[in-house]
Amino acid sequence: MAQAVPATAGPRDLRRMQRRLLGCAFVAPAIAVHLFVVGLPALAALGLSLTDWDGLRLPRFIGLANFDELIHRDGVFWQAFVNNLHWTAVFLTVPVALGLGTAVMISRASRLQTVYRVVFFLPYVFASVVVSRIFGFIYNPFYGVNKLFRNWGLGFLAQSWLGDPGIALYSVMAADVWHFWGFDMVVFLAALQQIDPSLYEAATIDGAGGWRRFRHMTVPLLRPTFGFILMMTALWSFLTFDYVYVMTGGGPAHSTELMATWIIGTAVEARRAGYASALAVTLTLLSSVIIVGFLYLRRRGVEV
Amino acid sequence: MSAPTPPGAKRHFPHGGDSWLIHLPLWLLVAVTLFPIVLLVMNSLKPDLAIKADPLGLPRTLQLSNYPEAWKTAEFGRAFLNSIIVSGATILGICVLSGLAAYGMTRLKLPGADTVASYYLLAITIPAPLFLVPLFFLWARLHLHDTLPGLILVYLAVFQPFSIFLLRSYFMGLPTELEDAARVDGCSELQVFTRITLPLAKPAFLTLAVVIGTLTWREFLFAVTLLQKYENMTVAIRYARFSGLYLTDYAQQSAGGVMLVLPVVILFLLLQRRFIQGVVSGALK
Repeated sequence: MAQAVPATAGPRDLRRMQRRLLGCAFVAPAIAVHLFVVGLPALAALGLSLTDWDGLRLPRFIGLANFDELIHRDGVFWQAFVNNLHWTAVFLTVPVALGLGTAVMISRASRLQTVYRVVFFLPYVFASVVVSRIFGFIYNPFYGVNKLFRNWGLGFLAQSWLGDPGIALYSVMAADVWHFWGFDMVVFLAALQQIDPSLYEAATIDGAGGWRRFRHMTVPLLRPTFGFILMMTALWSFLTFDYVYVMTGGGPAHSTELMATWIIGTAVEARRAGYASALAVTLTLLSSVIIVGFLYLRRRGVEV
Repeated sequence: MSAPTPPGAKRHFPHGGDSWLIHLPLWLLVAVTLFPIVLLVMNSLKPDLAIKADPLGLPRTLQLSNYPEAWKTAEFGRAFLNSIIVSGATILGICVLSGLAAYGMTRLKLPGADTVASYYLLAITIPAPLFLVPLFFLWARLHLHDTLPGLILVYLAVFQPFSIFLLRSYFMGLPTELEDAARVDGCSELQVFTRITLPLAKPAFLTLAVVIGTLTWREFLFAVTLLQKYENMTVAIRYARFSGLYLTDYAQQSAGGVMLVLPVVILFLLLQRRFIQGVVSGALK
């Protein structure tokens, strides 16, 4: 840390000083950009959440009135929150199980590992808009999968995939799961490949079968990876935006509305800067519950 | 199973072998994964009427004209130029900003380097809407709203935490002997950085460029919020608008979709190992 430079600073001390100064100069531009775009506006949102502001005139301080409105009179936001919880529940299970199961299978295969890895990860590089349109076609009531069902005499399976408030959210999720699960897979696969193979050989010699090796060796060794994936998935699930925005716009009747789509709509379309800030602050509080929960579990010694 | 393991075979699971029990489910998954992609490519090559008459039918006549038609209707020319500018500037800016920052944090005895790292760790947990709402109105004030520099500036900030941690862990893995030797030989700190460390870190920068380029190319939330005028839109946003207007013209819509994803898909297939490594790097440590 900062040490007083002796009066007779030798070339070494000069060098050290120079190095520190240069260090500050190296980090400063990045920090400045980040503070300007993310840090300071995020702080500003805290203040703006207490105002009534249309983005043009001066913000008017209204205390906690925005929070009163969002708690008592904004049913859509809470519907969106529940939808986000559904989203989180599905993404904490389906892509994780699919990704882990597939990664274990690929790591056991001695051929075609690269092919599998590339194919399963391919959807992840697709733009969400394009994935949304492909699934929009599959869900088309007349030309999509419904037509196939009818052709095969399974007309009773035909659904209004995006039009039925009871299933629309899950239809949208399916598109995102198809897009995303490969990410979990490559992370698990990379973690599996870091495990020392001799551990498995030793366990096998000691008579441990496939399931016991998986349950008592693979799973514990993958704990930190699980922790990372579950925490990031939970955080991302609270921020989902693209698929709902493109495929349903939150409809029908807000049945697919998510917190992010509702907040952006409130800011961009309704121009309610103050109220949208209050919604965003609430979203931040809700998602920080997840982070604090994870940190708590970690401190308690549960290795997640 | 007493035969010697063939060279190059993975020996993680000695009894694993290569039974159909492993490959059959994997091939089923391959089919499920590729089905929507094949459907997209097929639709892009069929006349729209043929798609509607027989959604799963193989193309009887290849209608390649869907492509130039979609390119023209969506006015992709300008959009591609915009996306190339945005992705190029973001890649360049991120490499410079994060490269400097990561080097400063790991090599230059920066006072408070841990605080900086904690700041970026915290930044990962900030939900985008929290800063995007004030930013949307701030950008309007600063005349950055609906401009490419305004969007690039946002990308230069939001991709920083990932980039800095990726480069930081790479720098920390590099041996310092060469740098120390260069110092003894009279190189200035700046020369050490540009002549010794940067050349050594080239692979990390290449990985970073590929991942950031892809993320920028397909980015949606910030672009759709901050770009309004048709001539300013990136390809992803232009495609969203165009495919929304031509919602039931699946031939054109699919051709446009293929053109949007093609550059990134080619890049991924060429550099898949590096690409996946880069994406995973944040997860394992």
